[in-house]
Amino acid sequence: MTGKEYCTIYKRSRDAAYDALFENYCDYVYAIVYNKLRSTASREDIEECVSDIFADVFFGYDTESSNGSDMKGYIGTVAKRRAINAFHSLAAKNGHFSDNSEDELFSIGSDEDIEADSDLAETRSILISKINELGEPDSTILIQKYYYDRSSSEIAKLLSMKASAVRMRAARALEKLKTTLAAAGIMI
Amino acid sequence: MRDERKLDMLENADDKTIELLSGVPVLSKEEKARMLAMSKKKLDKMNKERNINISESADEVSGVERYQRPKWHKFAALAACLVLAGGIAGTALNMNRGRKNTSDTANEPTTINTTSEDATGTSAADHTPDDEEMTDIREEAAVLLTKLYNLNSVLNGTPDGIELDANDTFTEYGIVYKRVTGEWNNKQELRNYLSTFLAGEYFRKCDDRMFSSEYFPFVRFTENDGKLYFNESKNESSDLSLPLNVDINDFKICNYNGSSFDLTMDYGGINDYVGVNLHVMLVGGHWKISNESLVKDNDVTIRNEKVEIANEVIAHYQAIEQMANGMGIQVNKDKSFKYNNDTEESVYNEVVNSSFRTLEDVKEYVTDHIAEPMLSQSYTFIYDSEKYNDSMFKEINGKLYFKECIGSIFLDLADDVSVYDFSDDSLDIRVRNRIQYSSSTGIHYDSEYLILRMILEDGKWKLKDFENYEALRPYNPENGDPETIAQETINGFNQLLALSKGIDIEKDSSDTLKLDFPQLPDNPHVTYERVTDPEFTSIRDIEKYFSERTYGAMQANFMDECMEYPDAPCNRIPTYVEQDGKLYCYTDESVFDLYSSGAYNFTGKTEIVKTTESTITFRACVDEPELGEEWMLIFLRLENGKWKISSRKYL
Repeated sequence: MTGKEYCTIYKRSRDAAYDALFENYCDYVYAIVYNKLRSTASREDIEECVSDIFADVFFGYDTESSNGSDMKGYIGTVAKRRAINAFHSLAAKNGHFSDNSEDELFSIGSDEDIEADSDLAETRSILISKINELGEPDSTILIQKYYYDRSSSEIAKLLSMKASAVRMRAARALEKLKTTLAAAGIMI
Repeated sequence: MRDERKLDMLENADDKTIELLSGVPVLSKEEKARMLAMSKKKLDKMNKERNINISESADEVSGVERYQRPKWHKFAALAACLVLAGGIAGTALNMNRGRKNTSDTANEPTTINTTSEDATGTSAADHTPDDEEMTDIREEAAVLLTKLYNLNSVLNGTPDGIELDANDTFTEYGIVYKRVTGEWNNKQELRNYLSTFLAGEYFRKCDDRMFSSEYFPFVRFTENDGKLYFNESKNESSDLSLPLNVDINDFKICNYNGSSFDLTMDYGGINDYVGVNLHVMLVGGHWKISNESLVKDNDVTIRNEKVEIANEVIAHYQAIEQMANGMGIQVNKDKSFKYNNDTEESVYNEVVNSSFRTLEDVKEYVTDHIAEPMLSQSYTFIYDSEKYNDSMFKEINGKLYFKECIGSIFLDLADDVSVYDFSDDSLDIRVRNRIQYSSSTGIHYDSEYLILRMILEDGKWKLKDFENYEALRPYNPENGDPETIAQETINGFNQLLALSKGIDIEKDSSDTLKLDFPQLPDNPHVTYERVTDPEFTSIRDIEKYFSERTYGAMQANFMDECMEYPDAPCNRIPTYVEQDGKLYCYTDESVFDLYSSGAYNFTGKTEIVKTTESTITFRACVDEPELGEEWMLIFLRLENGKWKISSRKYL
């Protein structure tokens, strides 16, 4: 969705603009927030952060000086900023950082270890490609279950499958993924 | 649970990975609807705080609660300045005159008659200034008000009195700031200026609104590269409680005691509040506004107290409603157990960081805020683990566990509460309930006004029951016998499902149409068959069938399933398409009869729960395979003389 498209809807109806904005970028914003907060926040916290971001974007986006470029960049920036703030405030609320959280905090704020970052990016890229090689619906099931931490019954509902089928496919796909990753020297 | 998260290395990923992850469908319609509703609520709150009304039409059904901006909140700084221009503006430089006098008399308490204008406040009995002193004080007050209205204007995004260089801009997070070139070079200089007429709490409040990023995107000033920049984004209210569109000479001075006074301005009876009271103090030899408070009259005060009670009860009700839906309780997912009640496996996680330690705590909380009959009807299953196998909370070995599930909130109450009726031990309030539903054409909202009934029981205000405000008038027998209508509804219900799935409709399998759906996973190739049923010759006929029998969310869901909307993202194969003036139908191979289409096996037993002038609520018994008899609640609404199904839910 470009800024101009958004503004056209906005001028007609702000409610419609809000809905369109949300519909277009909800998954993207959720992915950003979840990526930053998955180890720190509850699902409710993540949902709250996503809703904060949309309220911010709707409030903050300058419809007068919008242009033809995709709004994704702007939304992504607001989302990352909010997610990082939420991470800090949740970590502070918890009163301490676990070892894991410290790592995460470090990686959020640091550009220092470029070599390590590069290795990790490469590993991620291989991981994603191996997941994709599993094909649908296994790749989706795997990410939903082991990354998004969804239950089999939730995944079943989303994919119109039986929960038992999801459980079975997830287990098999994971085994398959482990094998192909091990061949590439990656352990999960 | 944690050990199931094998893909931790995807955390804190780069943009490309996030892009890929965002392509995986993970959010259900309910989750999206919930987040959208939450964000609108937040936006609404932000708007309220800034008095922006983002909704355009009062008739439009909207998810954003409409906020009627008080008339006095129209942006009248300019008008205020005009009023002041003649008599007061020139007094800014003369502030010391009054100050000297008042300082000199500060230790000589006198009684003040607050000039020829009627004073509403109680005058300080121990201080009697003479006319000259009073005139000086009024001048001081007028100068303070001039500065304050000017500040209000600046906080709203109008650079009154601030010189800007439009060619020197700085952009941050999408907000364009213009360079300030006049009197002020940095934040500190501006702060110094603010401190010449503001003090204490009020100074901090205004300072925050000028500089704190908390007020993004309306933070007014920022510094970049040693230069000061101003944000012109318009915000219709700075959150200062100043009456607008009034003559700002029309203020009153009260409680003057030589070192402080209150400056009161009326809202002209437009708002619940009578006016605003600005407290002015002599600080370091300067008169400064240190605080503000809203002034109420007695009747309004009583009603507002009732509203506060109602808001409190609603807040607890919403927390309880969340608990009833598996939300709002912090848990440790690493400490969980699974419970299988033969039909469904439930996961219970240990409750952490909660004031609830035992089932008794939960029960006490729920029963402290919900009274009969609502309690037994809807909320005992939260804590009564003896009666309900799958109660929301369970206590095992001294630890409290909470069931993992995500339901949907029954009532989504807006915060526009108004008192409907009250006595010493009862309180009826009117509140808007938002009903949200989504379809491929977007998320839709409907709303209804409810009367929530509260009672004072054991010294506590509790929610007792509620009913539809619009439908308080009784059922009109001319609209049919409710029992008969209920029977007709369940008889026709499965036909709706059948039609939506493309079964039980006459088709010609030799006249087909093949369509691809490249936007869907696996690019399905679908074969449609020509509909030969004389009742349905076009999409319009299908729409008419559903619109005559269903209402609101139910209607949207059926339409979604059946039709393809050109402007909406097509995320499923539509059951019906129209091409060259012919209607075609697709029947999913997995749907071979009514049962496989998700039809309900109604036993024929129905029970009317409630009728009003425009609604019928009844229970219908459904024989569910393997589950036995279950009761479904079905809601009907009268529209254009026809009873239509508006929603259903299992009890």
